[in-house]
Amino acid sequence: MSKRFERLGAEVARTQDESLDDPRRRARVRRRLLDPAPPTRPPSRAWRPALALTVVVATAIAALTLWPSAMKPIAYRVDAGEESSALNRLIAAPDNRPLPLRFTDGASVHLMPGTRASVAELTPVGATLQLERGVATVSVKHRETTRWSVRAGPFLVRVTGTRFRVGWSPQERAFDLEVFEGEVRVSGPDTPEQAVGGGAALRVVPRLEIEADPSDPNLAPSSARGEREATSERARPLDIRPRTSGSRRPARYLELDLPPKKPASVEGSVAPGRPPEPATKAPDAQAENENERELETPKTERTPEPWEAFFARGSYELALVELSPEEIERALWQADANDLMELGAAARHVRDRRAAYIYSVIRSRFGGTEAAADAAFMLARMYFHSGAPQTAATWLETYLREQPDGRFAREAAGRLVEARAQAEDDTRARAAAERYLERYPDGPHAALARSVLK
Amino acid sequence: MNGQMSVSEVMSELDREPVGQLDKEAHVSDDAMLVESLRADEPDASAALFDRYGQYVERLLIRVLGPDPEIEDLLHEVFVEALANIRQLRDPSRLKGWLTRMTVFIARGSLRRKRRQAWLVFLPGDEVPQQPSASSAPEARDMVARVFAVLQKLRPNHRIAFSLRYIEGMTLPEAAEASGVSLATFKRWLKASDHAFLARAKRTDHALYQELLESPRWGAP
Repeated sequence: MSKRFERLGAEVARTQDESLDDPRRRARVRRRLLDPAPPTRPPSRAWRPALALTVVVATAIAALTLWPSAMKPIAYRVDAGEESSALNRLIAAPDNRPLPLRFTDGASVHLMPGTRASVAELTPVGATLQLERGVATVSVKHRETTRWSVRAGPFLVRVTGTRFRVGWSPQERAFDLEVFEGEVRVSGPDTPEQAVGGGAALRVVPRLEIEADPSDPNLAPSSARGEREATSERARPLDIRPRTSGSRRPARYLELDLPPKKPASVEGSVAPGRPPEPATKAPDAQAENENERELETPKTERTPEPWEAFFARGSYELALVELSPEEIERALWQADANDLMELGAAARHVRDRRAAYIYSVIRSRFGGTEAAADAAFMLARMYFHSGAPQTAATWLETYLREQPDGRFAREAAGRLVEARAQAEDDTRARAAAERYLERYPDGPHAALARSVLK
Repeated sequence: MNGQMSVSEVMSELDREPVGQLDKEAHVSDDAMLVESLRADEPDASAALFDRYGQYVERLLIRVLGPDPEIEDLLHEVFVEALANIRQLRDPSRLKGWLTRMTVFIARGSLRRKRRQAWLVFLPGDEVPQQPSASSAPEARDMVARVFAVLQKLRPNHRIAFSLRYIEGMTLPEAAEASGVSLATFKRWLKASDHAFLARAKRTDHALYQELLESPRWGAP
């Protein structure tokens, strides 16, 4: 009897799997899960009037009793320590591990190894973190009244609800910001406040501008940077850029793109018209003129496409759900092959019917490349699993023709045997089996190939 | 051993483990890294957990609960619980099994809650019709509805046993582990579920009962 139940169950499962084709439910849950707002369960309709009354009464009581405490400033814990409200106390992360700070409003800050910071302000709706040096990853829960900020040197990052990483190097005067979600507003010296959205990164590093010594015949402009006598130093303007696929996977710790330090011969020099810095400051900082820093609009005037932010975060499944068909279409014709392969994989994973189209576009745009061949292999797998072994076999042969020694070559050769056998194409199944055994006598499909040849 | 396998058996095996042992080990190692990231509260770790196991957990819930409007809330609940308790996971490489048990545990809680509230029949239900899948045939959807109508009357543990073993297709040890009970207990539940399903179908859906017993569609009698 259990065999009958198993067959019944398998049929139920097949039908149920259809509902898994729709990724919208998962996308909604994903948003709820990653959205810091507390989850709420819809009340039963039958209880709705009573529940509404209860909620109103409870809210009124809570508002009356909790009002004073609601106005208390938030507090924080350093690592597993006691709750604290101490201000301006130096907090230093050890050199071998990050140090977490958790705030009672749900925000968290992770100081990367070697980072030093302090909590400069605590209010009922947020805090101000002073980043002395190093890198901090900040996650702030969004609420209407949230007021959070991070000071890093002369820069101020204002937050209402987001996740981002901020870095500050006082020696190099380098500021670095990478926004993962939401939006922050950044201001710097002589710079109006401006927004930096999710997926964007921003960097300010000083750059030496070299004036070549005309008496030196070996001085070439391209090699002059940081290697020759410098007569002035200017800060490189803010560089706000959406992350591209090449920079999508950030290093665990920020790597500031800094120029070589100034040669000793100019360490004491200062910009014309600027008073010397106090002696306590590092020589590098003395030579630097903060007033010469300026914010810059993005280097490229092109407005980033919506898909770029999703792809930069690696949120391919979400992109399939959130982007309009037109936006997806633009992505298909603008994104690079790696991103499109990822998008295709995501589409297959969520059983999005556009997967085959995505792979077709890859083949069309990147013909002759490994990506195009890989797309052929993926198409073969899709057709194979959807019960079209002949079409799958055609794509497998395409892959093997284009990448005879490719990374999927062995599996493609084996699957070709399977596909031909499943299509009951005995002649070609035998040919595929012979080719497979000739090349992979001990391969995972060898037993199948031998059984085909019997 | 492979020499005696039929083509369909080999393909079935490949479908189960299409990526091979190396990738399986890599997956376990990935899980361990993911757990470490979650414990370190690293950015994107929660999203990575959901992206890796969201569909799996959703599928398990659907297997156990059928077309249920609470699936979305329960899916959310599983991940909220998982994220809150990730530090209790002793062996990070067993993340999937841990999530499976948590899913079954939460599904069982939902079944028990519904059973406790079953006497409130005079109240209007808050269930909304499940959006039918556009691609499944009406008769297939009807079959699912009838099977779950029968399962609805079974005890939660028996229903879970039936769903994990027959619908999800877990092996007996897998299903026992997912249910958090010994193999012997699970076998007992399964046997009880078989009898209860047939008895309930005989009383409430005789056509299904007859079909299950007699139709060649479900195998030789």
